[in-house]
Amino acid sequence: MNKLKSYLPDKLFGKDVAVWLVWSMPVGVMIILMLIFARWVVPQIIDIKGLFNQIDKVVNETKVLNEKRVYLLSLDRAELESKLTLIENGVLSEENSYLLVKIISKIGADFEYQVSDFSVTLGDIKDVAKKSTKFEYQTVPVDVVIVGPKANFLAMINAVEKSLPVLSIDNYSMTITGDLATIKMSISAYYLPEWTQNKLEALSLTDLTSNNDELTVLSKIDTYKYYGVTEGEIKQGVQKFVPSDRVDPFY
Amino acid sequence: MSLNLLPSQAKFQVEIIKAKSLSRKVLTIFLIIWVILVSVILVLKQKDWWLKKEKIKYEVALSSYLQLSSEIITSQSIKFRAKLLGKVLRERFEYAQAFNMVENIFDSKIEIRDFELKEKKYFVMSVIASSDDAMKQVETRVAEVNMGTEPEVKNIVVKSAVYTKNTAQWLVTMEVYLK
Repeated sequence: MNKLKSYLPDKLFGKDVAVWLVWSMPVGVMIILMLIFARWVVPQIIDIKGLFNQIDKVVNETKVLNEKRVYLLSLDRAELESKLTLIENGVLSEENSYLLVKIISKIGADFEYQVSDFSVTLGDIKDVAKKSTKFEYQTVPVDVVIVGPKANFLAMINAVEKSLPVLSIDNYSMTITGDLATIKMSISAYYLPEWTQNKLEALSLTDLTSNNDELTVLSKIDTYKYYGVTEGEIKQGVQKFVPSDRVDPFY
Repeated sequence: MSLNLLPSQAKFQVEIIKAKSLSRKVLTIFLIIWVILVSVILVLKQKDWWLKKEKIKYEVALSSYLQLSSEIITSQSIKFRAKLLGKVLRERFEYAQAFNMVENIFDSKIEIRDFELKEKKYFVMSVIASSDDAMKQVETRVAEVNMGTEPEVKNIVVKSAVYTKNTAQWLVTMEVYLK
């Protein structure tokens, strides 16, 4: 200290240097404590902030889960099942064009129409991935020619448009000969694979809640007539492939 | 008025003692604040138990929620199918409605022979008029529709009119544009 004093002036800001040197030890200690604080304590404060954020997040997620649980518990199971049955009837049960032909012949039969011809092009089933709607579905198209009484054609078309599964007429032409109408149509039905999602908890309450659009669709298709086709009826349309045993097809 | 009559050495010693006392107070206050802050932080650092407790609550809520997975899957299946059907129903053209409209353009004397939808709201149709009166009626109705009497029909363009002598019938082909 005395050696340090020899390098310093006798007075500093009008006071003896010895008075200033009294402060050297406390200031040194304070600097060391502040450095410890900055080096070790400040990162702990950041960690604690992160911890609090995590706690907040978990608390909120628990709250949301409980809200979703309460909503799901409030649903009427029987009503949900009846809605599911109705909506499942609105789409094809499988992506099978023969099934669609069977449905069309069933509708036609109600109005004395018969399917005289149909064509299914392999690979026609289109995967439609809509980014905007966030779901994928398949369009199942078929070209059919149906023949029946001219007087019933309008009722028949009306039935096609008010049937379940929901059908879309993509193309239509009709020729009337006497009392018979020959109608050529391209008809599409829709197939939606089973809904799958691994993280059920990721769904928000809005995702789970029915909106007005859905309720409108449900009430609209509720007035449509269901033309169900059994598995046996589908198999009738599919004939087993039998390979030809002829060695040379030209002789 | 007070007189400081202490010798300068004594004054200096007093000043040193005062400075030491003040520095000790300042250091003590600083230390107290520092220790309090560090203690609070150390206590808060032990809040892991709180997070663990909240995580347990979350797990319990999650398991009760997942017990309702069949309801979730059902509601989502309904939602996605309804979304698809809503889109189809919104976008598809209602042919039955269009046919109904077309049938109402002409009366029962005029018989529709062919009908082909070329595009949405545009179709070509052929009608048979079995007499001159019926043919006149076709002409009149086409003119009326083109003047805007049918709210759903934009206009009709007659493409051809063929008279067959043997059957005494007119075959009129026309393009119909709906609004």
